[in-house]
Amino acid sequence: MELLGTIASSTRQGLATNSFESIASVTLTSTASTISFTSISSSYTHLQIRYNSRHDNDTQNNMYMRLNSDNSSIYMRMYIFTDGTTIQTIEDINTDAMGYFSVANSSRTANNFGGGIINILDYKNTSKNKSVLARTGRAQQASGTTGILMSAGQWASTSAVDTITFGMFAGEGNFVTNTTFALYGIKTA
Amino acid sequence: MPATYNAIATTTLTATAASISFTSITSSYTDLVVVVKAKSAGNNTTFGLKFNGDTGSNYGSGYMGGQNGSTLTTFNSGTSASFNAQSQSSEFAPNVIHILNYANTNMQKLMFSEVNQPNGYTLQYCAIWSNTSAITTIDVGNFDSAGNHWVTGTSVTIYGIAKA
Repeated sequence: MELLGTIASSTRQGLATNSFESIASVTLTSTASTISFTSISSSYTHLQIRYNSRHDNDTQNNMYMRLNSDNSSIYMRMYIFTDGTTIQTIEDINTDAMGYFSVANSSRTANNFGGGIINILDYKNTSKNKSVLARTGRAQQASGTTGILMSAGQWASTSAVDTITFGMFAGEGNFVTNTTFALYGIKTA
Repeated sequence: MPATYNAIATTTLTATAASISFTSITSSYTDLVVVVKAKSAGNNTTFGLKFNGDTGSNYGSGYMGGQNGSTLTTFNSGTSASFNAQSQSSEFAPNVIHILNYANTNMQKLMFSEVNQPNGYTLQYCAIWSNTSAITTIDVGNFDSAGNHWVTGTSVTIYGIAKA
C-alpha cells in the first residue's frame, strides 16, 4: 500500500501566514511500503520534513528518499554515523535514491521509533541541482542500539520538486502504524 | 489551529538557579523546540532535561562531534536526557533541542540537538525518553552535579511546531 500525504491548504485558509508553514502530514493507520507527498506547492523556498518512523523488517535501519519519483541513478548520498562507540562515513555516487535516513526496525522495544529532520534546499529553483541536509537517528537505553546520522545528498536534476517519496532500501519491509511524516515550507523574505 | 511555529514560553534567570521548569505545556503542537542559552557557575558542562517529573533511569543520550581536530562519540543511559553546552566562560553556550511528537502517546520520545561551546566543541545529539506519555512538564537544568547553578542571564525558550 502506498500512502499519500494530505494537503493541508484547505485547513489553513484564512490563517495568518509566517515564514514556516505546515504543508501536509501523514500518520499511518496501517502498514505502508512507501509514503509520498505529491503536488507540493511552489509557494516556498525550502522544504523541511520532520518524522518519526518504524518498520516491520528486523534488519534495515535506514530509509531512502526519492524526488519526483525519479529512480534513475543520478543521486549522491553521504553520511557521518555513530553507534555511540565509533564514527564512520560513507559516500555513494550514482545511486537511485537519497539516504540514509534513520528508522527503528522491528527488533527494537515496542513504541520505539527513529526520527529526524530533513531539509531540501531551493526545491523549486530550476537553475540548481537539489541538495538535501538531514540529521536523523534512533535511540533506546540498551547499549549498542543507538544511531546518530548527519546526512547530505544531491539529486542531479534542476527540475522543481513536486513529489517526495520515502521507502525502505531493497524494498525490505513496510512502515508500521503510527509512523508520522510532516512536511513544512520555509519562505524567504 | 495555532500558527505553525510559535513561542510558547520563555524564562530568563534574574538570579542563580539549578533548573528552569515549564509546566502545563499545551498539546496543541506536534514538535517542541527548546532553545537554551546557558552559563554555569560551576565546572559541569552538561545539563539535562526531565519530563513529567520522571526522575527514574529512563533516559538515554548520545552524541558525535569534534573538538580541535579530534572526533568524539558516546552513548549513556541516565536519569535525564543529557546535553552539552553550558559554559563557565563569558559566553552563554547555545543549544537547540528538537523533541519530536512530544504529545504522541504511541511512541517513546526522541529528540535531537545541535550544540556549540565556546571552548570548541561541536556536537550532534540524539536522546530518548523511554516513555509514551504526552510531555506536559519539562525541567531543564543541572541534575548531575551539586553546586553547578546556572547564572543570571541564562535563558530557555520553548517553541511549538504544528503539523497539518
